[in-house]
Amino acid sequence: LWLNPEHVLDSQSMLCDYCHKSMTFLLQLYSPEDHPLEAFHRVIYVFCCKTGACHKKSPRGSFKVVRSQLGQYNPYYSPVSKDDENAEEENEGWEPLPTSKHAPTCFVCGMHGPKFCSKCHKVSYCSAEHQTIHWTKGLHKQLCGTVPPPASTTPALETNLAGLSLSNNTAAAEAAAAQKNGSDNENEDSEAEAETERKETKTTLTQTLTKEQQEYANKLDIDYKLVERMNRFPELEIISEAEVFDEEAIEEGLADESSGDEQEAEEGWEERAAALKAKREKQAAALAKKNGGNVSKSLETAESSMNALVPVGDEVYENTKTGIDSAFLTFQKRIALYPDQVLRYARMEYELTNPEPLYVSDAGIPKAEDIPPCPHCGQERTFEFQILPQLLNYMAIDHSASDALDFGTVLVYSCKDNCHVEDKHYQHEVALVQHFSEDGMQGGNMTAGPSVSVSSK
Amino acid sequence: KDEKETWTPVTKLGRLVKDRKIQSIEQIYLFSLPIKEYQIVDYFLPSLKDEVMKIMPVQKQTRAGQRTRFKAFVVIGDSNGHVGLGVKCSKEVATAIRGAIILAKLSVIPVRRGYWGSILNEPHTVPCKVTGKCGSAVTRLVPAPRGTGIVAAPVPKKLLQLAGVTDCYTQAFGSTRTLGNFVKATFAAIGNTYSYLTPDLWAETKFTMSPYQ
Repeated sequence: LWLNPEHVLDSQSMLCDYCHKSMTFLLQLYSPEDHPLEAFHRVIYVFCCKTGACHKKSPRGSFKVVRSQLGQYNPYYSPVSKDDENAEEENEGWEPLPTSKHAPTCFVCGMHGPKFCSKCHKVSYCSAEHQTIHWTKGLHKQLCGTVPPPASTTPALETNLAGLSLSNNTAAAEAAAAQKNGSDNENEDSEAEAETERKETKTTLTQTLTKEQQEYANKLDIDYKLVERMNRFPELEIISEAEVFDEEAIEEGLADESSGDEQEAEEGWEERAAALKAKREKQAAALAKKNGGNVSKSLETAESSMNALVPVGDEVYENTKTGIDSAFLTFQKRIALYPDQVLRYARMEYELTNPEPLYVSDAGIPKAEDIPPCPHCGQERTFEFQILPQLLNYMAIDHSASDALDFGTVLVYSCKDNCHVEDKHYQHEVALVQHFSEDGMQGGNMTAGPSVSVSSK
Repeated sequence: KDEKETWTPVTKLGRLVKDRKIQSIEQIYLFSLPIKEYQIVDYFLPSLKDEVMKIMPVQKQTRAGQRTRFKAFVVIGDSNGHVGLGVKCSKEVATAIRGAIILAKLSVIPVRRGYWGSILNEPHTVPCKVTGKCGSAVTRLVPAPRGTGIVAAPVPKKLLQLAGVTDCYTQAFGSTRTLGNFVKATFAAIGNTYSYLTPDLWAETKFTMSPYQ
């Protein structure tokens, strides 16, 4: 689902650094920003390599993140969303760009697809590999010539959009089923419908559903707004390539604040920011007293307080440390509040200093040198969001395979200023992968641990 | 009960367990895979019983008096070959106990049992003399004939009962009053039962595939 339908990402730029295959689309996040006006619409796309072996080789290179943004007045979407009362006045005289001008996208992966099927000239691909895949596995061999021209975005993505409105899940399932069977009638209908609705509903839908920023306010010990909400789909497998997964997972939110309108959301932001700050101060005070294992911030305050105060005498008390990966324990605690969370978004207010991601283990914490500054404007990159491993539950991965996709967490850093470069519609950002540590959870200085070689009993 | 159903695993092992790709916890032990989610242990051993050995208040002197925290020692086991020991310190007793139970589940270890004399019926005692040490506390477990019961101080007795050892002689050295070290020492001793190479293990084992493949 491309923000900028005219300029679509080229698949050559999305090759895995190790296996050099093209990466698959993992998820997209719609995250508008206020600061540069060009970032009125802003989407972050994450791609990943499917072979797990590439992920183990190095902390980067197997995930690629790309940012795309559009100003408020652009030729694709109406300046003010249709829900707004003033919509009709403001949108006077504005017409969206006709779909014929949209860039063609590859049927298989959704990237830029300049090459067309030589027989019917209707289906486009990004590379010869995808063409062969679609021809054989995707049954294009049988359907070539009979298939009505698909929309400029791939049908799977179309059905994605149709599925965005939660009530339409059945339609999405239908469309997916229709694809699988290769029958075209239902496909056509849903496509056409989806397409006409697409322009109108795009702005509202993406705002309400692709992303929401919520407060954890109801629960304890939160440092920053964490809950991120994205759409959930039943898995849509594009028939042409069985491995491709096209999925965005939802996170079960708390108090649902459906920001129906973008302006509303913005105003609500300031209020929420103020409220959150006050709350956070209160909580920080409470937290500082708590066992310093809960939150990374409170951990720091607890530790500093321990150093500042001088212990009386030479009191040596029993070692309360268990020698266990404390970062992991913190992570577990956080996760336990919302076990279904899939993604944590952490760039909310502008006054805040860089938020700290929730690390998964003590080892492999990325240092400042690992995050290069933005190549365009030279600004440093700050942490924006992180993907949690629960996401892997929702993708159809065979975990018993030795090279299945696996990660501890994926931290995404993006340019602080959301710099905008003319004619370059997609800026690369940095994604770092952290894996779980290989240690067990045994206690500290015991001489124990069976190195089990035989298990018969 | 609802919470157990909605466990979304975080680690790969957790996902494999949830998908029922792993049949028993022994498979995990065989490859020494680190268990990071206690729900994995819950899944395989639903009948674990826990026992709080001691709640010990530990104090730290601050400018404004003393800061007291509670340290909980929890031993967990099904009396049939699996034990775990968890230690957790926290400001409140309940939190410490809860945390210790989780840590205990994560540290569950298999226990090897054997015979004292004739190889009849089920194994009832330690297979050989094993010892474990922590701090200055040393615990030695010695095989005993059937019907002896567990001859030990209350602390290791509880641990051995939860392990499923029916008969055992014990000897303890060092300062056994430090309960933390004492219980860790006997836990280490129990864990060593599977590290000990006995003649019946001399045969070469065929290697099997780890669950990750």
